[in-house]
Amino acid sequence: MMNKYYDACSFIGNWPFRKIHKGKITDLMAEHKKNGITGGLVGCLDSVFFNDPYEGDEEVAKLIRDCGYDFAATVNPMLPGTLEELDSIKTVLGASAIRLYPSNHGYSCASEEAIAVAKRAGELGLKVVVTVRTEDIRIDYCFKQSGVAMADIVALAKACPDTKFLFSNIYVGEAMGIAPAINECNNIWIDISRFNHMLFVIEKALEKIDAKKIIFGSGFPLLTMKCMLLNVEYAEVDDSVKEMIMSSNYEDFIS
Amino acid sequence: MNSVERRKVIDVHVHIWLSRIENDIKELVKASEVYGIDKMLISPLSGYDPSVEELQTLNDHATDAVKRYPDIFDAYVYLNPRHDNMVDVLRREIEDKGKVGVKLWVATFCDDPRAYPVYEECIKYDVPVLLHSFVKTVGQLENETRGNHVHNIAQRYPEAKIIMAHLGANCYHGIRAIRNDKNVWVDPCGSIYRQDDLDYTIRQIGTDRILYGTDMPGSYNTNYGQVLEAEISEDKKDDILYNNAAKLFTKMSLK
Repeated sequence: MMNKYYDACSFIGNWPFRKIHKGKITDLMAEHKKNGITGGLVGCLDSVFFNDPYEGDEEVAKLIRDCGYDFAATVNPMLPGTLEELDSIKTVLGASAIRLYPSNHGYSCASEEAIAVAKRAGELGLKVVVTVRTEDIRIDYCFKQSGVAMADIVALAKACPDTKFLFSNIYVGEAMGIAPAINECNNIWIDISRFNHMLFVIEKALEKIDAKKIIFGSGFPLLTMKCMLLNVEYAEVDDSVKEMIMSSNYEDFIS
Repeated sequence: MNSVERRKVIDVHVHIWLSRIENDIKELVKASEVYGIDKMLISPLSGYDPSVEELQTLNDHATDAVKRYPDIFDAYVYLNPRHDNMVDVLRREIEDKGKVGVKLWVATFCDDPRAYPVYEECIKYDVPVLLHSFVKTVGQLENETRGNHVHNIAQRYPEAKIIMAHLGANCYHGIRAIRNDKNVWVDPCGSIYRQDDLDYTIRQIGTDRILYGTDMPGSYNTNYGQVLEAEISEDKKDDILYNNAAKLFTKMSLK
């Protein structure tokens, strides 16, 4: 039987600051197929910068789901009506998760609004993806991300114990810094889409972070899919650990 | 998972850091085995403005590393244009210690008049000059070279063989600055690995002036993945990974 490998961090759409050449769902599917990825969680880049992200997500949610992916809806907890809209995000858009962009939308994850949205998402069975960054802040163009405090995302997850969280686009150093929380809280996972700052990064991450909590994510098409995939393929760890990172950990998170 | 593609590789941008020399060498040797790297060109680094004595210590460490692992390493001589003995160091390290190029970091801009003798000597010796080049929206260092500085020096010394590292960090800035300078090569090394960075560079300058570099002991797979995923022929990938550097570095030893 063919193994199922998942990408917990990929997108379709356009990005305001540069041309995205592989932003269509067909591009994503082709890249995934080429690299042996069979599914995963997909969000819409355009929606991040829409005043009403729901309008952007409406256009693509069904397309993404029909292609066999789980859909991550873009949510800004600071927008009026967001809390009530979560029901529609679940039932109409068919989302499996909501994706927060605190560094782009300029709020703290420890805010009342963020906590309320995350709690309600958990009640509805929606997972919460916290996007720690969308770009390396050193090359921000026209727009500067506000940054995300690690203490705030841990506080958010602890305030919502019945909600499953994925800390996405987190640097490996940041993840190691909050490793005790990641390991202790059974509702926190991380993706490896920005594990790019050291040699043998998977092996080193596993020295501090429970293997059950690490999920493959590519960041495609903002980032290069092959980069983090090679980190897993080359990692000198047991094949069972690679299977967890590429497969079963995502299934545990999204179920 | 898909098996990893093995290719001939020359990594033109690798460091050993003074504070962790032995650990870096150990990791790099392991990387050469795990990833199958044919040659790494190392430069030793420490503070932004190293003293005469510190610089000599660094260059001695690089010489020692090459002596210990001649099949894996060749080295740049690292210079500080603020030093009165800079040209003496350059000549000694190339003539007597077998260095194959020059590395300049952030002690001065690369087009500072105090650096002019570097280019004049490197033209005589037919060795390339590797220039750190990094444009930042946050944390730009006082004398940190950017693409426009590289362009200036390329114009002043059209016979010099200049390598602009990191694609200038933000390729949409760095590559635009040097795209018409035929004596400037680039490497994609470092932690910026947006999906289109390498393809954008190829569209702007072709593949003949692109070298493979990683910034190890930072990540290796980040940049390897970029090359594997680039929209070019397999032959062109081999040019980037190996052939272009083999032609450019006339003093490098290859098995």
